[in-house]
Amino acid sequence: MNDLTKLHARNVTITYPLKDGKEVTAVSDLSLKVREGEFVCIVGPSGCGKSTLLGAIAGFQPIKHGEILLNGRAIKGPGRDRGVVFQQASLFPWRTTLDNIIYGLELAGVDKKKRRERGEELLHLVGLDGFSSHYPYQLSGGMQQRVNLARALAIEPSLMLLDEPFGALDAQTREYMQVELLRIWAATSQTVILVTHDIGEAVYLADRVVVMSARPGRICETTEIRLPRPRPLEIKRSSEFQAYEAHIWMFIAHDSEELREAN
Amino acid sequence: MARTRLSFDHTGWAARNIGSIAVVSFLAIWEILYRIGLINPIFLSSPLKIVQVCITLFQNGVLTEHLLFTLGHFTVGFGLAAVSAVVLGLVFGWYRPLGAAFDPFLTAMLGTPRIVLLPLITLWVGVGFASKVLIVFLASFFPIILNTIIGVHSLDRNLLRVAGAFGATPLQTFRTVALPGALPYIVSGLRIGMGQALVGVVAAEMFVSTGGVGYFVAQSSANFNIDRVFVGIVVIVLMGLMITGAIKWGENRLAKWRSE
Repeated sequence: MNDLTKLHARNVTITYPLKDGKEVTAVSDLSLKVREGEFVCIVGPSGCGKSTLLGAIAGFQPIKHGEILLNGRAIKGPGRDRGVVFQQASLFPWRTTLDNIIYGLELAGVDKKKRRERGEELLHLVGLDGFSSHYPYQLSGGMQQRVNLARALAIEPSLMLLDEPFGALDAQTREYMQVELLRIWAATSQTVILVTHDIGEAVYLADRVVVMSARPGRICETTEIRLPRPRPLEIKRSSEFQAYEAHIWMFIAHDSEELREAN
Repeated sequence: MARTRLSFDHTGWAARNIGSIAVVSFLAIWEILYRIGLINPIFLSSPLKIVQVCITLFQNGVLTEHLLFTLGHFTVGFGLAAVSAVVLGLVFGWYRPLGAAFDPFLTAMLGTPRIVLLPLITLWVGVGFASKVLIVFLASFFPIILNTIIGVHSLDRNLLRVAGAFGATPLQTFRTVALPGALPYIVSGLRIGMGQALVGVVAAEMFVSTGGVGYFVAQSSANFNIDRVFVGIVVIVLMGLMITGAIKWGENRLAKWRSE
């Protein structure tokens, strides 16, 4: 890993218009740097603006103040230099697994033979050899999310953005997918920003966990996770891991009204 | 007294072919009633007679000519309607204000039997080829466009977001999301449109034409040639069956990505 800055968010403020003409601030004066090849997880209570921030990096969400630089250039809209993975796999039901994976390459006008090769390569990477001509309805939730991941990786993005990618999966599949994600990440040396509300998931995956607080959304804590890699699942049972979890939980609990009232 | 239990084997040969058996029995009874003189041949033909006359009419080319005439009207009118209604339907569905503006007209026309426009059409374009093509066009255009609009409106928002995330241009989004996503609706629109187009072409040929199967039926009826009337009806029934079959085939091809 080097210290080249991949993404630089500078004093970013994002607001939503309300129906009565007023505005609500979702993200307030937030700054964040992500290094090349780094795996950053953003955690926070619901409504803290973490998904809004990811949406802004993806280019869907207009920014009121500040700017977000990717490789030194300001983000102005969605683009194929970022691979986005949503919570819902959102595969095209009329496309086979392979055709779903190469969707972005098709839009980019990559020639047929090349995108097929690349598609097969990714199919192998995400462990779905032999499923190339299956339709999405024939795949399990975990498999669909692998295809979703492969589809985003296929375009060789400069930055991967994952918005609660395993949120819709059952607990067991979810853990398995976390292991798989790290394996795939190690194989691709991508820069990743992942949004989750699951602290354990964030600690397990990340080089650095960024904690956001709500109203208005801003960063209240950044924790470097110095757990060795590769990380087996058992690491979640280690005292070091649990110390990280407890540390981050404190910041979120402090911020969450529901938890404060309960205490 | 022991009660007789009626049982019906749902998997036997008879059960599997019950439709064919019903048709054959119906035709046999009809033929018998005709042979023993219970049917007045002025008003009703018989199955065998229909087949005989049909073969003769195909051999001397009379029926082939009428059939090609009808198919010509049908194909041109329906083809134009299908292409324009799908394209306009995609556009109207996509740009909602535009669709909302045209909606009252489209809905009003959908509920109206378009054959009522025939007098106007003959006034405008005469009684030739164009009049029938126009009737077929109007008959099939409205169900297709309205179904296409509904198809676009019910697109999965998440898929549109995916297209956006991958930097799809509007035209690429159209081609890769809107068209395939709306396709099931479009196909059902085409099916309804085809049925109405067949009604339209036959009716128009009966009123204003010098050829076509509709004209043939009307003409034969005026000449009290009941066998020929029935031949015409049978040909139209077969056309309807073929159209339904073609659409079913299309739907099955489409169905491979849809879970049962």
